[in-house]
Amino acid sequence: MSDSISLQSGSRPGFRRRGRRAPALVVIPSVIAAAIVAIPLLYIFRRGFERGIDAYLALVLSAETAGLLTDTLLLVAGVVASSLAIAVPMAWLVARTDLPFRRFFAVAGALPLVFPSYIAAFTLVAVAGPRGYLQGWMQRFGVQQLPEIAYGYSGAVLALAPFIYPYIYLLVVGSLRRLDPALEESAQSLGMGRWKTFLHVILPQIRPAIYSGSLLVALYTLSDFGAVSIVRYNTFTMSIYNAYRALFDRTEAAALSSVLVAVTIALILIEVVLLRRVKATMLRPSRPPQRVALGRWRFPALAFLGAIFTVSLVIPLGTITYWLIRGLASGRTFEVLSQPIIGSLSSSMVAALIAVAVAIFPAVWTVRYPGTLARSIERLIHGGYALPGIVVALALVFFVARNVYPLYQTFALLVIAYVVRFLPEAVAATRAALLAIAPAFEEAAQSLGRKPLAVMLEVTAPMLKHGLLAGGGLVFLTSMKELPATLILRPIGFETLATRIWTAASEAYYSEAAVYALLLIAFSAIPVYLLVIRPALAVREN
Amino acid sequence: MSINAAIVELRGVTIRYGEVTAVRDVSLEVAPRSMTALVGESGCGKTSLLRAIAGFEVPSEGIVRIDGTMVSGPGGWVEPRHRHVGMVFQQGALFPHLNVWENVQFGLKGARDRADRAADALRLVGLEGFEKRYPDALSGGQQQRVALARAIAPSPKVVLLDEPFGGLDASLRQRVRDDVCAILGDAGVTSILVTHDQQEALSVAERVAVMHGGRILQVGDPASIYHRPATLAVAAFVGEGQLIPCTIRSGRIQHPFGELETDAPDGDASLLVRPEEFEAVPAEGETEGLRGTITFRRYFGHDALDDVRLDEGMTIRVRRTSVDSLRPGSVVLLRLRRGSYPVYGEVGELWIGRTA
Repeated sequence: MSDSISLQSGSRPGFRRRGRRAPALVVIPSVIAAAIVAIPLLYIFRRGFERGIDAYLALVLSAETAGLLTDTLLLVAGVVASSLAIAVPMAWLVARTDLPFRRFFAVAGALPLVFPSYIAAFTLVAVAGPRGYLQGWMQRFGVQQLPEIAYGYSGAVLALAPFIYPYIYLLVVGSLRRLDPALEESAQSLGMGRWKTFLHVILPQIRPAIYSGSLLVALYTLSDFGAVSIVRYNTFTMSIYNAYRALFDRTEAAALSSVLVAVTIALILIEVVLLRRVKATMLRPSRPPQRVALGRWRFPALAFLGAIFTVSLVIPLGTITYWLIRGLASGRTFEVLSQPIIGSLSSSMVAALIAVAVAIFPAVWTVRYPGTLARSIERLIHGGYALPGIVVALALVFFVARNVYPLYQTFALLVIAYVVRFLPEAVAATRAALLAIAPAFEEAAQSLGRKPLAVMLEVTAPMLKHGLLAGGGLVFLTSMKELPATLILRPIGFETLATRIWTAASEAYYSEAAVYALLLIAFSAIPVYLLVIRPALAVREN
Repeated sequence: MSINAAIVELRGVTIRYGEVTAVRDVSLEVAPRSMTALVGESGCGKTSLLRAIAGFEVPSEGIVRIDGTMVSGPGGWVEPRHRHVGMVFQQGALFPHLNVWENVQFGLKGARDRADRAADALRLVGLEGFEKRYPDALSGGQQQRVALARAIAPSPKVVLLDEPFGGLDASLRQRVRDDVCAILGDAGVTSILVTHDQQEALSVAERVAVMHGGRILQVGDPASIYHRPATLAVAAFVGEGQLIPCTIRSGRIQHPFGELETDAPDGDASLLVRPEEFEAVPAEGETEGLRGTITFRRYFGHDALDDVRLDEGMTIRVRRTSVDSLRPGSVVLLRLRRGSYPVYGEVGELWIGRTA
């Protein structure tokens, strides 16, 4: 054992100076992914400043922008509050009481996710609008003028909250089910009543789910373009789209986008601060929780759920079906084109495959080699998700038009936009699956002589199968529904189900819109059920 | 290099995680074809040390050599995949998407004798016929045997076992432990076992290294660890026992139960006595020994551990195997059996006291 041996060993394969750092195999693709997300976003600020800082400030600090900001934030507040009012009681009823038909309600509670907000808004206007079905029906009873609820603020809240509350509902149900019943039991044995137990023991434990779900709802509301346009409630996304399309004033669109980016970041920071103060432990429950006997309270509970599902499922689905039947009955022929179906399926599928393939790298990095750099890269990638589709699309248009012109108005650019925007869904699903796999499996493979790439392909990826599938399914689903980015980035003549529905319904071709809407809902329902609803509900049902 | 050169050699290994030092300046040599146990409470650094040998932790100081080759030290680092080390993890870490045969073959390169070696390894662990099963269709004990077969199939230089029996039921634990140790012995494999269970360490290993606070306190064969703990800390961790105050005067140890001969210098000292080294007899008709009363009994079936409160005040733990009429409340005479005992001097140094 002399120096000569250590010199010899210097030439052995795999000999290098440092140990447990993330291999380049993991780092390089992650950094590239983060760069693809970050570069266009930085570019949007550059474009916004193009006419000089004074012009930028004049626009950003104008009274119009302030009004826009107020209206947007009011909508976010209203949608989050309404979603909470629906989701938290629903989750509690389904997970913690002896409510009749609770298994049915548990699934139904997540189903509104299949309705893109623009479909919800179209049906809302058709039903509750000034010349809507409800008005027509009520006139028979002598009611001349129903209150104006389908347009403006109330319309925007109604078109969003009943359809996106599941983001909160699913997380809260999951966290209620994972809660150790021993916590409540010890509170009760210490003399606390039911209501106090909920307030002081259960609520603090489900707070992380409530915060995270509310953030998702808030971000969805910020980024929504379809619903607010249809009900004519002016928010940032609408102004940005109008600035981009109607005026061809791209600097103004970029400047407004930068404000929206700032609002998004502020919301995320609020959640980070709130979550930091939470001390919740998620234990693995030893047994299913006790269920509260509702007694006579089950009637109001059923009425509450019935009302929600009427608004969030029955009315939109009924309206679309009615359009379809009316169209078929009128004998008016319309062609169902295959191009939008192929366009939707191909772009979403390619985006899902790419997202899954890319997601594994940052997921492995942050889970297996945690550190400051890994965390920053992950946050950057998540930035794409938080940002409204319209901002991502504009950022890509600005960047590509000046720097990579051949990509402009191509299928590839549309897919890149989907990946940038929805990659975080794949990363989060992969991350969660990876956290459930002990590093021992990968270490065993390393000890048995496998290189990092071989470890990933032969051990990590097969064991992650379900997580990758879930992530891919989510990316597929959300890409299918994405409207504004598709409208802006699609190549000329390229259609997806979303763009087809948008055009048909805007031009009042409701039967045609209904066909594509039903197709979109059917395609969405499969991954929503398999990947979101089933796993979320599978956690112990008694 | 001679035949008996160490297979694993650690020199001054220190492992830090930021501010925390998990392992401090540890040196250890592991002889070929032996089983060494690293034993200590959780957080003592034993797993970090094992992982440093496997290459999953990077020591901040010190040298690790495997079979004479430096794998970690100033100027170099060898990736885990080039270390020729077999790892057996707590839950086995069998790849759930591969069957038993594919798991065992995983580390074998080259098609030529691959099947033979995998078959040999499976035969060694007694699981022929299980090739097509998937890990979830195996019992915990079978999983650990497959994990062992997978680890030894590529003929590693050393097999590292990280609490391999920790996930098993108590009833299964001993049998799997015996199997695994017999297999390792038959295969002539050098191995290092990490465990928090001192009984496990004493019963299976040929050499035991007791760790505490990131340091190795003592290395030795099981009997010397148990009967001659080098320090009071080792004595406190390994086995039950009590320290009985005594004084040493010109080569004689004066203690409440009598006298022992020693080479230790004069002064105050502590005598370490294990519960089985006491003898309790009914007080009637006997004269030799200290009078006391049985106050509490822990009954285990094969034996019992009694608390005896001596009339002079001290309470002593006594292991009793004989079936007799004594029970809590009985008055007994307590004696020290003939033999030699460890004695710790005023600064904790170890001496030996023998019955004359």
